[in-house]
Amino acid sequence: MRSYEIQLLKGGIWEVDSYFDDRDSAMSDADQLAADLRVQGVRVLEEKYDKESNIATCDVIYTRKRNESAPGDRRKGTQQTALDRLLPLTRHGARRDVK
Amino acid sequence: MERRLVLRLRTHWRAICGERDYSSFAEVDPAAMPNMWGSCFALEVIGHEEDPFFRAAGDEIVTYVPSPLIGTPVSAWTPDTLIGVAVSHARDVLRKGVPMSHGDEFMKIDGTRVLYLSILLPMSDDGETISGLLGAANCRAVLGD
Repeated sequence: MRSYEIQLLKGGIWEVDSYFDDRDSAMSDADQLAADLRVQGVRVLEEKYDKESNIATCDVIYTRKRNESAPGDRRKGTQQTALDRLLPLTRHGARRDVK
Repeated sequence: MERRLVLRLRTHWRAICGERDYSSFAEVDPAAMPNMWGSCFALEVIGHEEDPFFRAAGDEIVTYVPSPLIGTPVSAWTPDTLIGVAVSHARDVLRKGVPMSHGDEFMKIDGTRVLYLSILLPMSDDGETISGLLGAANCRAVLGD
């Protein structure tokens, strides 16, 4: 079993950004992140887990680093009951078999 | 099955986030994502951390469920349905606080094998506490062996 962990470099520390269990999706997403000028660095870790031996191995399969620091401070939203905005758009449908 | 749905939604979510860890449902405009919203759903988490429930869903995703989706908890959906497998990692996303995408196959109750891709994205109203999950999934049946 394999899974892919995308990490972003923030303040010199690699932080988990997201998980994929599909390599192509993970690599595509990493490429998009690497193209973002605000991102300091991106790397993808591939974890291989062997159920029988119960051993997991991890390899870095992709790394992109930028020299400059990523700008910007965190902002905080204050919205409440934001889900309510979506509620009127909900519609129920009849079952449709997968084709 | 379109792999790009997962990546497009992830990209859209990231664009809304900007420098923040999470975006808010207040910033999600279904009209601005016409090629994605149909396959999306929203889960409410606050007060239901152990078993989030469906608060909204697009037109496409609801066609894959046999009964009304809105208002039901994720535990109501078994892993022989698209929506069941799509939310099966909800607790992992809440625990780790980052987007998670999964792709695999499941067996429908009628024996049909189905390949699916899904993603769950953490949302927050205050920018810190995860208050909901935005998800999307699509699938296709596997014909033959």
